[in-house]
Amino acid sequence: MSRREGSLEDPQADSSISPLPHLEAKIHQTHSLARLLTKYAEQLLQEYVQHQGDPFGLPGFSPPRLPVAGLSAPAPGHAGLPAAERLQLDAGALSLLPPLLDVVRRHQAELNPRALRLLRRLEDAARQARALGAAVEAVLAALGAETRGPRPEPAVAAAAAAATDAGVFPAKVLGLRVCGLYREWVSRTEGDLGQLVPGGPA
Amino acid sequence: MALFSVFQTTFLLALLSLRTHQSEVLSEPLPWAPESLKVSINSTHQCLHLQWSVHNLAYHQELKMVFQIEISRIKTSNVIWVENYSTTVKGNQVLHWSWESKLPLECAKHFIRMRSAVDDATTPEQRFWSNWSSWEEVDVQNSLGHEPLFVFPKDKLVEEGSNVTICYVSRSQQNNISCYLEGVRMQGQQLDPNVSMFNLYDVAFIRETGTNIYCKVDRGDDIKGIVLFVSKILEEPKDFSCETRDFQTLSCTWDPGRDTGLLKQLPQSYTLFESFSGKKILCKHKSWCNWQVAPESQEMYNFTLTAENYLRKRSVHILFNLAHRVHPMAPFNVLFNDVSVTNATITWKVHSTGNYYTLLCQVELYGEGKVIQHNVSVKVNGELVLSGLQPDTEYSAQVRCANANHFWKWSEWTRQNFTTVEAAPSEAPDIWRNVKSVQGYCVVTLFWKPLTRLQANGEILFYNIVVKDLDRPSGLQLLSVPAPANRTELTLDQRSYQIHVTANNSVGTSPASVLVVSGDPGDEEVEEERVKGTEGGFSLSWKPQLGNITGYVVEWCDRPRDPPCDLQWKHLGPNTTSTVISSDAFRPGVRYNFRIYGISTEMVPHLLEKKTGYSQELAPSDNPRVVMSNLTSHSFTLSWKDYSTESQPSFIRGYHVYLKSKAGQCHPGSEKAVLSDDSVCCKYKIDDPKQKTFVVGNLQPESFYEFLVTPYSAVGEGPHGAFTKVTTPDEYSPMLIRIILPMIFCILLIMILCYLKSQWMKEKCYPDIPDPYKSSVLSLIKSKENPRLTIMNIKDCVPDTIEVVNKHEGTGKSPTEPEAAKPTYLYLLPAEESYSGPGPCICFENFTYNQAASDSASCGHVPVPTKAPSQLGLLTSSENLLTALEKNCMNSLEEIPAGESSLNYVSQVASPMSGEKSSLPTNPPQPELCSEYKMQMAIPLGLAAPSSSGSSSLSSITLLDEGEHYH
Repeated sequence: MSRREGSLEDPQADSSISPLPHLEAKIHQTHSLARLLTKYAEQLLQEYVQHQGDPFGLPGFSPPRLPVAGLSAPAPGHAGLPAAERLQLDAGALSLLPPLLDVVRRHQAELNPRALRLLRRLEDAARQARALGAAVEAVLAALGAETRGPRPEPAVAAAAAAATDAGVFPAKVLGLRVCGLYREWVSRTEGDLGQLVPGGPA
Repeated sequence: MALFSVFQTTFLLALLSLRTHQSEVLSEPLPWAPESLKVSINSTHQCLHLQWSVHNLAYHQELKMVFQIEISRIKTSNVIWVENYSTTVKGNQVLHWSWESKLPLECAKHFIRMRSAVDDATTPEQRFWSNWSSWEEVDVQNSLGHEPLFVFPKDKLVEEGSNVTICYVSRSQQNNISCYLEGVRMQGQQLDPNVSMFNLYDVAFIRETGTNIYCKVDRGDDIKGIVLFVSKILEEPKDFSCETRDFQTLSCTWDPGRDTGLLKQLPQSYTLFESFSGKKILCKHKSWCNWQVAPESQEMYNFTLTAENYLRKRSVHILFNLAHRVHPMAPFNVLFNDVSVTNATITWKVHSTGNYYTLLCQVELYGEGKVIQHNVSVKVNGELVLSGLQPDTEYSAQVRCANANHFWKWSEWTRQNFTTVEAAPSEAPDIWRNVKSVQGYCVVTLFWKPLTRLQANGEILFYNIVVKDLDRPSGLQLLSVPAPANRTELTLDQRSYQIHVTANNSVGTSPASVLVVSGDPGDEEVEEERVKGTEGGFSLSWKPQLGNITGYVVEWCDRPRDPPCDLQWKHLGPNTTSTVISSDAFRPGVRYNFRIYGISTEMVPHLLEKKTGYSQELAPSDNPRVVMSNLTSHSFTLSWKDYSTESQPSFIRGYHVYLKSKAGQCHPGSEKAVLSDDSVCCKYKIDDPKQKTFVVGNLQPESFYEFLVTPYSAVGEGPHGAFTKVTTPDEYSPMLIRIILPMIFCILLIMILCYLKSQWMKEKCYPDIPDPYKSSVLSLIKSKENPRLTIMNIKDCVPDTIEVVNKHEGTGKSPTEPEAAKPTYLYLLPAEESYSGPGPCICFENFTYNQAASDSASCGHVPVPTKAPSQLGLLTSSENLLTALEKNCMNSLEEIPAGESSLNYVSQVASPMSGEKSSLPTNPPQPELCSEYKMQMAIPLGLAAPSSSGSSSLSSITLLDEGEHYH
């Protein structure tokens, strides 16, 4: 917590034009975006599951939570990391998600061309993940923390596309996994930013 | 024995030699045996592909051969397929053969071998099988990789209703693996310790994204799955046809049938093949395709339409002559020329279809609710004269064309409208009148019906009315009423008038309608008859009229209850004596009145008959308002004079009077009736609807009754609403009233008279100043026949003193106190010591006079002396008066209220009798002139009973009240 507060103070010390309100506004704005995207991500997951059929909609169906193109779900120890580090992880994950979502969208367009709403949601999710990632990077920059450069998207997309070549069922599982990862990382980002918002949870 | 041994040895050697030769022959490859057998697999299609060549077949040689192929699964002895494949083999030809496995090839090892035989008539000696080739083993599992679990086949595409076999391959025998179809566990069959297969029968289409099948290791999270894409069966195209509209393009259309459900996974294509030209095109659309007509004027076309997807192919064929499939384009440039009152000419053009074709064109004319159809043969331009049209009428005409020689299809319609020219109205307006007499004038309301479109021939602008006085031919009255009015009112005198009515449009005038209005309609003498209506209307008939009748008119009102009543009429011919009047306005329960007029040749209407009736009678809806009167102990009268039978929903035939009583007995003239509420009552029936009073008799005194009067008609009676309650009075009350009332009246009269004559009565009976001549005392005296006694004249008495007695009320003092009553004497005469002058000498109290206010002291306030004065002796001689006096006083005292002041009139002569008189002048004047009157002097009661005898004492007590009681 003290680290987070220190991070908030640093830009203020470096700036002569009262950057604190600006930083707070940026954090608040990014947090709001993350909260909105969390809701959208949940809707996307539901929509995706609905179109794949059983067992994807069944509660007992739990395919292995394997990393996808190097992207894993937030680790259990994520909450214990310093704020800046958490946000860096968030930003990194958010930068990996758009190409994965694009791969899923392309596969669904082949498999399910009449599911226009699902395809639109996937397209929107990729764009929104990019926007949220950029916003987190901006917060990190404002906090004075280092930002990791984005991974090359073609490499990630190729890795994901290779997974879809294994068959339709693995591709469906991949899509489920990607949508799940998107929801988890957006939700995690919302939580991490929420801790930075003045008056937010400690 | 030795011979037998030698023979046996020889036989065995020969047999051995034969077997050796045979084995030598078989070990040599036969010519044309299969060789170089290679087996490959196609996992996607689950196919085994075999390729081989034929041994020793010359390059130029061509041989018809049979190849027997044997396939085993898991082990060579488990043969699952044997097939003879016949083909003609050329030299050095590599032969191919494929086999699709129902079980995914990855699920088990497969072994293949084959042998051949010549199946050619040219080499009959070679018709035996060659040796089997060696077994070729196909084992895909070796190339699967090292993943722990595999499920096959991958993403298979099948049609609905197919049977599918699925298997999994596990790398570990320890794993317990479960497989699921759409989340539901499947029961499988184990092929070997690592492989199980599952048979799915008659699979169904579930969704476009396929049916999900997966297997998982129970103790791990590894999941492997496949998607089975099930397609709906591709249908054969329906309604395949081709046609041309311009001889340049053939347009072919068809119904593709239902969707297969797999848009992306199983796309379907449509190809069009024409066999005569050998051309083939791939259609871009799934339901139509255009084909360019060959410029070399190909007449016949044989098309094959093929619908195809990965799983199935469907084809349909049509063969036709191009000239028989011409669908002309819609005509154009449709125009109307020379439009007149009844005619018009329509012209149109058609698109060119070559000079060899004649078109049949159809013209439809819509107007006045009719359709007239004309057929015209056309090469290029069409023309048709439309006749028999109605003036001023809008028509719509439409044209379409088709191939006249070989009909295929009509073109689309081309439509145009036109309106014919106006003409003068062709018919006279239908007129009628209503005549009312108002203050010596005839008020004629003239009605006419608007002309129909056919009659008007244009828009009616106004109506001209000419009123001609038949008595004065020169008297004309002209009137013009603008349309769309349908009535006008004329005020005429009592003469006869002829009325002409014409309708006018912009072109001319209609013929005139004529009607004569007579001063005396003479309508009152016709009796009304009843008619029975039906749903279809009223059937009216009348007696034919003798003489010159030009026709009849039936008149009625559509809304008789609502003024204006919407007068209607119907003209009928002179030979008609019946008609049916129907109207949409007729309602059940409404009485309609019909008047039938005969129209004379002079056009004068005469009322012939009146009819009245209902289209449908309804039960009376309300009951009369009944007034009850003449209520006696045995009867009462009911009256409903204001009930109108005319306004009822049916003809009233009479009334029912219901009477409820506790007794429940019905008297003669009534009958028992059970009402809807199961109550029982007596019903009186009145058959005459004009009888609107009824006397309910035979009632019991002091009894409670309820009655209801309801009308009835042919269809029922009125509602059984609330009954009116009545209680009959007792039997003697009227008699008592007859006696008591006059008595009360008489008493009142007497009392009034008494009041008015009270003064007279008082004077007569008890005057304030008694008349001695009328006194009873006088009669008593007279009875004693004492002639000396006379009556003093009041005029002779001069009063000198008035005694005023002041009595204190409620003082509580004992009446024995001397102050209780102190009379005060007012001396009316001067109190001179020597009274010498003449004058009245005494005043007296008359004890026979009883006056409530002033005389109360006549007895009680008489001063009672403590000792009897000696002068009382004057009265002793007349003791016989005491009784009468005492009686008077007693009566008086009974009525005198105690404690009142009184004014006593005391004679001066008698004054010394009282003790208080001592305060009076000691020498009161002695009235000498009136000495004789002392005998008439009032006698104080106290003095009258001075003795102590019981009777006297009783008399004294009785005379005085307690307050003034002296002892």
